[in-house]
Amino acid sequence: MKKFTCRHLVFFCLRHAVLAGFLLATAYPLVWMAMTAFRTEGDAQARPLGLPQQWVMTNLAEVLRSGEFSSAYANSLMLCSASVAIAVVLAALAAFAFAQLRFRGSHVLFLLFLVGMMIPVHVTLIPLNRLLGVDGLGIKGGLVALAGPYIGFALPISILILRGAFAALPPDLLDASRVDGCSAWGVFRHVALPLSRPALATVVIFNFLTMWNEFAFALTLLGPGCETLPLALTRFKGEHDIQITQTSAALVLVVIPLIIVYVFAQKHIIRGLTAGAVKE
Amino acid sequence: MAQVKLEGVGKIYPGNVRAVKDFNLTINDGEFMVMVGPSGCGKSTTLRMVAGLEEISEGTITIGDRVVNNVLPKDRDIAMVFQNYALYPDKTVYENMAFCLKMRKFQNPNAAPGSDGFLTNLFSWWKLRQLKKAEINRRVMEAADILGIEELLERRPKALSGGQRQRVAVGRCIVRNPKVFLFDEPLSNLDAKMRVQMRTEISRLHNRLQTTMIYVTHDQTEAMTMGDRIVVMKDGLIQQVATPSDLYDNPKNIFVAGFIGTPPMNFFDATIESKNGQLIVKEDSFSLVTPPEWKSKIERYTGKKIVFGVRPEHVGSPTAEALDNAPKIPATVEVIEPMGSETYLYMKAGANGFIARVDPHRTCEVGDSIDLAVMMRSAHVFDVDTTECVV
Repeated sequence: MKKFTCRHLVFFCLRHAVLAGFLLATAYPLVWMAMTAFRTEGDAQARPLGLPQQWVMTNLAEVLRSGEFSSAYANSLMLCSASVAIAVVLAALAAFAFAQLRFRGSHVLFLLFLVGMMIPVHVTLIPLNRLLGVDGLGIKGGLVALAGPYIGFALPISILILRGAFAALPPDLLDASRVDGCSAWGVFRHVALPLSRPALATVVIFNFLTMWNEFAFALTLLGPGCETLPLALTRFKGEHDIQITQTSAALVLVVIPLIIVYVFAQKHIIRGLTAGAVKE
Repeated sequence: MAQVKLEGVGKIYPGNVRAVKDFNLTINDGEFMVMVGPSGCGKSTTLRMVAGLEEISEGTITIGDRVVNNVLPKDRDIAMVFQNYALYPDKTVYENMAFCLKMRKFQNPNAAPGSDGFLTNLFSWWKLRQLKKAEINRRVMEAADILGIEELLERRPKALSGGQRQRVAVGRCIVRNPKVFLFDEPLSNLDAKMRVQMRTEISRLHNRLQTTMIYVTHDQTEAMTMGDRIVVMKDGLIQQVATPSDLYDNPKNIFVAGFIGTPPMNFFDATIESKNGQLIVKEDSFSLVTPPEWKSKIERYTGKKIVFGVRPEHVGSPTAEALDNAPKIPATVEVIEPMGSETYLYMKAGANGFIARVDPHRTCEVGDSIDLAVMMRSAHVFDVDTTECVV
């Protein structure tokens, strides 16, 4: 009995040591970023790893005063919100059709959507530049140019997640709603969507994170005077130096919405990722 | 209320799998029809075809005066209770019951014809909405009162017991006041005690509403206790349609005789022989003299093999033992199952095992050899080839 207790204790300590190490590796960059955001440039250069000698708000104020950063913030919020909304609506409709409606070629069509996940972003940069440029649609340079690629790249993974959630809905429940007076649209709107909230939350957050951090399309498809946050962050880096405190302050502002969204939706994300994995 | 008529209905799944074959049945207005049969016999498929949840491969289904082959489930004016309740987990009991009414178009009986103008239309719409809300509330409260679930209306399904959930599922049907109620094994997920209680409640509900009800079950006790008539199915085919007592007393074939009744009917492979002008059922371990009125029906089987069937309560029961000159089966007691009100004796007669339902006070021990009287007038003879009942 004593032997078992010792072994148990050793495993307990080991397990918690590994978890603590993982937590440190994950959280420390964020903590360091937050501390750097509230210290002076000199302090950051002299003692980059220690606690700030003096907590200051000047970096945040400076970043917020910068018109370019604020406008990039607004651009990112607007673009990501609209793109996510459109992507989720389209993905939910397609996923419901793939999961619940019988039609010829549905399996092939679904596989075609999944193939979209295997296309690297960089392969599409030149074709998209030509398609959206003056010789094509002529919308390159503005935010609208980014919406198409963002939605297009969000659809495959979104459809995959939502199709799983819709397919896992109890068939009797959908039959009951049909008898209760729902058309296919009614089943989708009144039964499938409310019951797939965890999967929808997962799709919203996953896509928002991806779009919020997206750099390659923003760099190549946006024109001067129209930036998103990942591009705006590069402005804090000069040719020979980097304003580390202001960069950190900007990063804090960038990360805040994501953390807030994640904290409120983490339960849904976990449930959404496992939704449909097992029969309940 | 409406009559439901199925004419030559069949269901063929991909791969030419025929789940239901040439199904002909008329369910009368206000009748409680039970479909019973083993798993995979096509009873649920038939019910789902009536509901419109399965396409009909052949034949015609009529509800009332309307052929509904190509009518959507929502437009058939039916309501259905599912085996696993199928309640919407994100809605309260009230919302679950009100949902089907919200999905329906509501006609304002006092609407003024020809009214136009944006404000007038807006006002009419708002008034109609209020009327609809009030009507929904009235119907839900009425159904909740019938089922005694008023105190559950604000709860969500996960906070309800199995019996309460099933009551809500029934309530969801009642509020619609449909032409036909469909039940797809609604009591299968309940424990034995709750099943008995709900069985009574559904029967009471039918007596009160007098609506046409079609009830699918694999439990023959439910079928016998609830149905006005019973359809026994096997391999997609109707075996017999009859009232519970008729089905029990006059089974059409060996399958129906064996399926209906607990414990099931005892079957013996035997031959018919003629001896001293009497026809007897001859088995290796016993010979039973048949009643004179059987003669015309079984004479042609003289010297041929038949299946002799007798229910447990017709062997060794007090009534059987009280008969004069009743033929007897000599057998050995293998197992004794005292049930309180009766005792089941698992007997061995030669190579055959059979069950006798005897008086609970009858004294016997395992291994005893006893002679059990048989009520021959209640027994049956079946044709070996066709399995049809001869007597």
